[in-house]
Amino acid sequence: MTDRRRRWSGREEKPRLLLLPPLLALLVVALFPLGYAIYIALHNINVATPHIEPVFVGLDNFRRVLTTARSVNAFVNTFNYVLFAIAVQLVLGLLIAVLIHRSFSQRGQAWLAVLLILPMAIPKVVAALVWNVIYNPLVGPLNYLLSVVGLRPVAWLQQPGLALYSVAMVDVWQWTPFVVLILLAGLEAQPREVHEAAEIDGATGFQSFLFITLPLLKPFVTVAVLFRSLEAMRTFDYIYVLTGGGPGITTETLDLYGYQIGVAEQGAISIATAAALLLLLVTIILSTIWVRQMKWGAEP
Amino acid sequence: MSRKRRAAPPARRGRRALGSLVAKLIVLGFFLVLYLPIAWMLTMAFKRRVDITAMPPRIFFTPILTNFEWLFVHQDMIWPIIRSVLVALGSVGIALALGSMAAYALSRARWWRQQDIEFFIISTRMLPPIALILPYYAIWIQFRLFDNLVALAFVYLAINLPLVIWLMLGYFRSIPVEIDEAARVDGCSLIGSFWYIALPVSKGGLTVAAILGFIYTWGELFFAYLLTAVNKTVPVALASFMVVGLDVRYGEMAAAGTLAAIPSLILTIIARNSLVSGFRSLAGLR
Repeated sequence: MTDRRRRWSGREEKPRLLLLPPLLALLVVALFPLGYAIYIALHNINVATPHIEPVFVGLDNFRRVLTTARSVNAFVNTFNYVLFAIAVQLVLGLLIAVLIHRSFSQRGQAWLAVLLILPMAIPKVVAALVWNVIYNPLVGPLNYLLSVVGLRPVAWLQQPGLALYSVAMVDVWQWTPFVVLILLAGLEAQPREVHEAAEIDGATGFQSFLFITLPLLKPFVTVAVLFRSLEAMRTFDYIYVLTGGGPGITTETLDLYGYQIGVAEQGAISIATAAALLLLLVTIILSTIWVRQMKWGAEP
Repeated sequence: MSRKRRAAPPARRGRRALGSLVAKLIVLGFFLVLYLPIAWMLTMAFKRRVDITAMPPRIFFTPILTNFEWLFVHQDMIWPIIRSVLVALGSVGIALALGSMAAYALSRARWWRQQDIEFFIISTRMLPPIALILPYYAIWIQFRLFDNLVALAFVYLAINLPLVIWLMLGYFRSIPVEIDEAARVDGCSLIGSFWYIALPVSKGGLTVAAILGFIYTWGELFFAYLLTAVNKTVPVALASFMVVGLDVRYGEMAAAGTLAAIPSLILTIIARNSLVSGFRSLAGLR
């Protein structure tokens, strides 16, 4: 354990004054609202009618979230969005990472890494605005490209079955570089000897990729997938700007649903918070897997 | 699978060169798709309306500045920018002060249930914003803090503080304890060694933490959108372009997007090396 090595030698003085204020601040800004969220979810509160005394309703709000068509729709949309976005990002990210690793020098890779970071720095709202123009049926370059190839224009954001995936492609556009960077780091960490040994034994490039590169890359894939899905589950910016949840409620994910039902439309903040807490539950399960994977606190 | 050992024959070497060329072309295509939308926005910001709606898209056009002019003359874009900068500076500043204190304390002493404390700090970063924002919304309305920028900066602390603690913990752990101990032997107090030794040594870490916090706060839409009405920050002002109506002002929108993206891009370029190595440590490498 490194903790023992790094402890003050001899002295058992602890800088409590340094640790307590930040922890207190964190409790106030993060844990208190969370506690209040549980209170809200267990009561029947509507921000539109603040004069009505909150009534304790137990788990009724959770039951209503799980049985109402619109909130179930929001869960399904979130799930589909995450699944699609992450799957595309992983496949594309793996391909690009392997290609970069194989055919660029160290110097070249360092440059490409910088180029990979930049798009992630752009505010999501800005990315969404740009793609809104790109998807535009009238002035957008995407449909122009289709017309050049002789295809008919597509209503990317207006077609119910397609809109959610069009939005997810913006996520793919901005965050595939994240996956590439993580996987590149993983590829660099692979011992060269194993691949050389495989080549000497006559393994083809594809075999060596399938049986050596991929298994060694597994922990990095896990990290990339979990980080990305945690982020993708909370997509508000792209969807709000590009479709606003429409057409109908076909692109309404949980964040948007919570906003619409809790704030914009009905003020039913208790139901919205119950849905948010269910999302939190999923998040906790995912982070636990991540922590297990990373073996939190145990340094090599 | 033991077969005869073979050196790469010339034909195979040729195939490899071809393969490498194809690989480079695919990577080039990837980066083209990655950067074309950004280039599209940048050019749109300097285009007249007729140039924007022209089909096929015009690559050559006479650049204009009226889109930017409109933002400041008709939209008072300067105010969202000032608000965003103030909120970001306030929130990130407090997060840096508190966060580096906590990180130093955690790195220099062994605490009761240290791993649990550290896990608690990281886990707050993983809270879905929707689970935080709804209670905040209810509380802020109740206490008439709605549309208050100080209150908004306070909310951002929930995101920025764990980020700073996490980053600085790594930095402080990489500073040898012996340096602090030498200072302590020379009569420096614990707080003194934090202030005079640890902080100056980890200026790089503080910079990266500040930049990441600023980029996050500067571009954050969800919290700002729900907790403000008149006091719009930059992302909220940008999003409101979409609700104006059918007649979207594309040029002006692109100009605003460009303005919003530039600070983040510049900061990222400044911190590029630390960020790349940050990704490596995120992947579990040191």
